[in-house]
This record gives sequence, structure tokens and C-alpha cells, in this order.
Amino acid sequence: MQFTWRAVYSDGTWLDEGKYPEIDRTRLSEFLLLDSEKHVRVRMHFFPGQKLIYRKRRLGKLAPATGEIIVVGTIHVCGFHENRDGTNVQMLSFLFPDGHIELMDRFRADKANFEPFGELMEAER
Amino acid sequence: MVATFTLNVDYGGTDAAPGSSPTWTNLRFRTDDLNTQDLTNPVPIVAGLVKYSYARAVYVKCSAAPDTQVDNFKTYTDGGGFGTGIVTSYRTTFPTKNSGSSSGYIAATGTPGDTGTELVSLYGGAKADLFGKTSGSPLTGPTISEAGSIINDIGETTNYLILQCAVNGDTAAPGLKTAETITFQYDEI
Repeated sequence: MQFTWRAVYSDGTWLDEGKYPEIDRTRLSEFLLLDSEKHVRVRMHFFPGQKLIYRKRRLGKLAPATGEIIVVGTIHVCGFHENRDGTNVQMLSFLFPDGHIELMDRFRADKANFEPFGELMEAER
Repeated sequence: MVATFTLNVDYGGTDAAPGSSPTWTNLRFRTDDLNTQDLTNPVPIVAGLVKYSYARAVYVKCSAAPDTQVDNFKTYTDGGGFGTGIVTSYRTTFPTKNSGSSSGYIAATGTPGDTGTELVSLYGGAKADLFGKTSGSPLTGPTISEAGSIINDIGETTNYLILQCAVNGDTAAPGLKTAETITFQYDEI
């Protein structure tokens, strides 16, 4: 299944998948993951102070005959983090290729699919 | 745009200046510093000895750029391996390779048809079993030394992942081995 993102702003306008850094986070109201028929599979609501984080986590297998790394699956990881009374609080949604969703309040290092992101972009910090 | 990648191997040449950098198709561990897809110079099985393939300096190279960036490479296997007496090792740190430099490259040495130089002797550092890295305990890497520690353009690469096969002459069985699969996981936006 293929999924794309949509950033919905507080005035009802939106930005569809494209340049992720161009999302206007000052007006972000919802972050959606849509399937190919534009049905909402994940809707994440944002409140002041919550910072969007998002990655497509690609799983690639080496194709021996060509040396290409073929993407065999993508996990869409979206969520937010915020500073709540001095503590970094996270909420994460993992949308898997078969459409099922797993939720966590933190990354975990004991499974590759749920490993933390690399360095966050400036807009995400 | 969805980023695409190949796995490449540097071989030949001299330190910091590899002679060739092709995509690593039908990858083989040989006892020479070639990338030829034939059965010459396999790793021999010699009783009482451990023989090594020549060390292979591989890296992931971008063939179509992402919209924004790729980073956070993880590498893992199914935990199987090539069987009793055969250990596939990786160097636990990643020598520098990027679109502007191969400064971490060390030309593989050894005796053709007999054994390669053991990778810690060649590169220093430490090594571990590649097939000990599974989805429950992935290898964090290869790392990236492009600007910003991200890949965002065609031709950009990860650092080197150094690989080597060791064959124990007392326990390994001869013959062609079943191909194994490596999974590369990375984050894209």
C-alpha cells in the first residue's frame, strides 16, 4: 500500500506531500497519512508546543544481480514531541505497508523498525 | 521523488585511491583483490588454519536523489550465515567514504589464492559477526560523512562498510554456499 502525507493548517488549507521542510509549523493543525484513494489512515492533531517529526523508514534488500537496493517496504513514522514540565514527551505512530498501525510513546532500540531517528531537522527541534 | 541506491565496492588502486568502484553485483568473497564473477581464487579450506577472503570495502551510493534527505542507515541479516566454520565479519567503525573522498580506503592485501590479510590487521579497530546483526539488534551504520551527515544528491554515499569472510579449515564444508540477504534500513523525507 502506498501512503502520502498532508499537512492541514489552522485555516483549513493544506499542503500535500512534497518538500517536507516547507510545512508551516506555526499553523499546523493536523498531519494526515492518506492511502492511494485519499482515505485518511492516520490523523495526528497538534496543539501549541507540539513539534511534528516524520520519516519514511525504507526497508531495502540487495538485488544480487544488479547491485540495486530494492525497497520492499516503507514504514511511515509520524508523531510529535514536546517539552512538558521539563520532560520530553513523545507520541509516535508507525503505519506499516499492510496498513496496520502501531503506537508508542517513545522509540525503542531493540527492534530495527522502531529505532530512533537520526539527527532531527532544525524545524523539528 | 523516491531515493534509490546501489551497493558499490571499491577495490584495487592504492590507499585512499581505489582503482575501481563498480556496483557490487553477485558479490563474492575471493582471495584476490578483484571483483570478477567467477570461481577462481575461492577461500581455501586448510586443516588447522583459518583462511580469509580479501577485505571488501563496500558502501551505499545514491542513484536518484530524495526530496529532502536520507540518513540513519541500519544494516541487518536474517541471522543465518554461510554455515559452520564460516564467519562473515564487519569492521565496527566505518572508514571515510563520500562523494569527494575515499580517504578511509585501504587497498586489500594478502596472498592470491591463499588468504587475505585479516581485516583488523589491515584497518585496525575491531570486528564483529555480521550475521549477529538481526532486526532485533541491527548494526547502526554505515554512517554518512557527506555534508550535514545526510545524503541529498545523486552520487553521495555512506562511509565504507568493511566486510570479510573467514573460513575455519577444521569445521567448514567445501562448495558453493547459498546466497544470503542483507537488509538496509534508512529514513527518508
